[in-house]
Amino acid sequence: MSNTRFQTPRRMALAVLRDPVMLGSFILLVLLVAASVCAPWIAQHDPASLVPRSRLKPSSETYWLGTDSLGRDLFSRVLHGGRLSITLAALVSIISVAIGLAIGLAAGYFRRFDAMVMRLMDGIMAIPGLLLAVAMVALGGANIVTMVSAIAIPEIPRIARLVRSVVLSVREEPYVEASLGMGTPMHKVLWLHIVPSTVNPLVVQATFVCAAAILTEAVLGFLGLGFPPEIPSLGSIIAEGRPYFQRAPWIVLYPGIFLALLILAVNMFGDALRDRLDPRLARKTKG
Amino acid sequence: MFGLIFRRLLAAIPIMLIVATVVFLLLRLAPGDPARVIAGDMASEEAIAAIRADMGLDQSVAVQYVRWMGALARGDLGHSVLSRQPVTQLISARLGPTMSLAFSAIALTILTAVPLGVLSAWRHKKPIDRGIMAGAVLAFSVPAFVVGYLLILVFSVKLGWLPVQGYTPLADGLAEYVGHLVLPTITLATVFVALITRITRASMLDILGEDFVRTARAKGVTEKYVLFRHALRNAAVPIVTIIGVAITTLISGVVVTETIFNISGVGRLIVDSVLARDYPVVQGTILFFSFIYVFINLVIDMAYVLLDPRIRY
Repeated sequence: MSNTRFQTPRRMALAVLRDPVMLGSFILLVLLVAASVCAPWIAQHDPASLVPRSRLKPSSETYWLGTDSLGRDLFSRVLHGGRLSITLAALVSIISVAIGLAIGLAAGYFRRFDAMVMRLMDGIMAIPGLLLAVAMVALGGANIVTMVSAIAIPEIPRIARLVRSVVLSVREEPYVEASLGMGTPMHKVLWLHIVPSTVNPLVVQATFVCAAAILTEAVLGFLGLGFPPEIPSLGSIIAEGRPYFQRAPWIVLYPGIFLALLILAVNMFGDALRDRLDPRLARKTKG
Repeated sequence: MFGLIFRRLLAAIPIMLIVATVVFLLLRLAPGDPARVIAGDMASEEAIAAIRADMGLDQSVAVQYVRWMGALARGDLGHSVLSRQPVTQLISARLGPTMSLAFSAIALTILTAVPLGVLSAWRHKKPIDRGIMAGAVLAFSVPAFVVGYLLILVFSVKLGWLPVQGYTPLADGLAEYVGHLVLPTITLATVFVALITRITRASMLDILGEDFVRTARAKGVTEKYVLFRHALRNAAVPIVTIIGVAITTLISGVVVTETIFNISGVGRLIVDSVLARDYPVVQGTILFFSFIYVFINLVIDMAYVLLDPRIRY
């Protein structure tokens, strides 16, 4: 288990600079996130403004990535869609990591609680995450609360299991026993000794949750279950482009490529981060 | 052997109970009123009350839970509020395309990912290993609908080799059946091939570092024998485990793939039911897929005994 504390920002920055894969994926990620976050200032056209004259136009100087079936600027729509994906992914990661951490800590420390809660987690893991999300969004409507909880709930069991396994191995460490023996209260031991050991694996796991959340949001949009049509999402842009696929394939392909690049950057950064922060896990899956 | 199968089947019952309970709880506790969703936005309060009574939603949660479990025990997943057909019937009518798609994707995955993973581990840190790993990260990141549309664009629209969409049953001829399955299978399998290649490589590397492999090589066993008989045999258990865990990913992939290629399978049934607000069908189908997951992992558990004689239950 990695007992090393989370590295200082300075050391992290140095590590990023030295590893070419990490540097490359980090730059790509920063570019995509920056472009999405700054979408309202970068894109010259309103993502919702309809220009019937210029329907289904290929990319040009005015419309960098062309237009969709209603004459809306695709570049602007893709960036706004990315903005939504990234916001949602950040929310989902924070919420699922927080809840997963709480459940994992409790399960790792209280034996009675453990058996019950971990069976519940097994139950959630047996339900295909996308289907659960589909059902919850169908029932609760496509608002931000339902969306975030629908995407976060299937991720929680994995995080809870990870935290629990860290707790189970750290609690046997001599320094933890010594600390307890010297009369440190339980909540202090948890906070001072156990939680820091979970930070590295959790940071790595959070990147994978991010990638999964971006994908799930896009799939929900693609299936017609995402946010209402006036909010551009990468998945719904692709779904709207489907009927025109043979005439104007770019409506499907450009948001698709943007989505793929975004997920690729997050995954590669996560892989590189794991190699650095979590050597035990890295050996298991990378060799 | 039969004793083992029986004991494992018995052990699956509590797991299925937990899964059924979790599905019930998550869908009952989720915000929103199923009766209101089914009735639509324009419905009167009486109409909503009628649907609520019809679905038993006017009862207490405890009564609903007992009824839901009782129906499940009889193999009843409920009935559609639109067509009044039992959910089990709706599912079985659409099982053909979904099963074809799932099995061909798993077959394609095993046939490509395992050799790629073995090759990658054998040529560890050589260019071919790096190439395969880069390809795996890429394939893991590209969403199924991007893969699907790229394949349609190249092979159906530009080259005209394969049909764009749809599904033909095997009864209509083998060539048609296979032709319609090729692109959906590749679309569905892409993520899996990436995942299983990585797992195969990792577990092969673990085994190839063991002492008995060095001994085998030292006593002059051929490299092929070392790789496939010594190493792959030992790496099989983790590979099969991951295939089992990843079944949920496969099921999610089926939903997307069936939508891209307009295949009316069970995955499409869920999406159509959600869009038509046919709530019992959504609930029943989710439970059906969850049971499939439990069942497949049960079979895999039993397969361990065949794969690794050291494992005994």
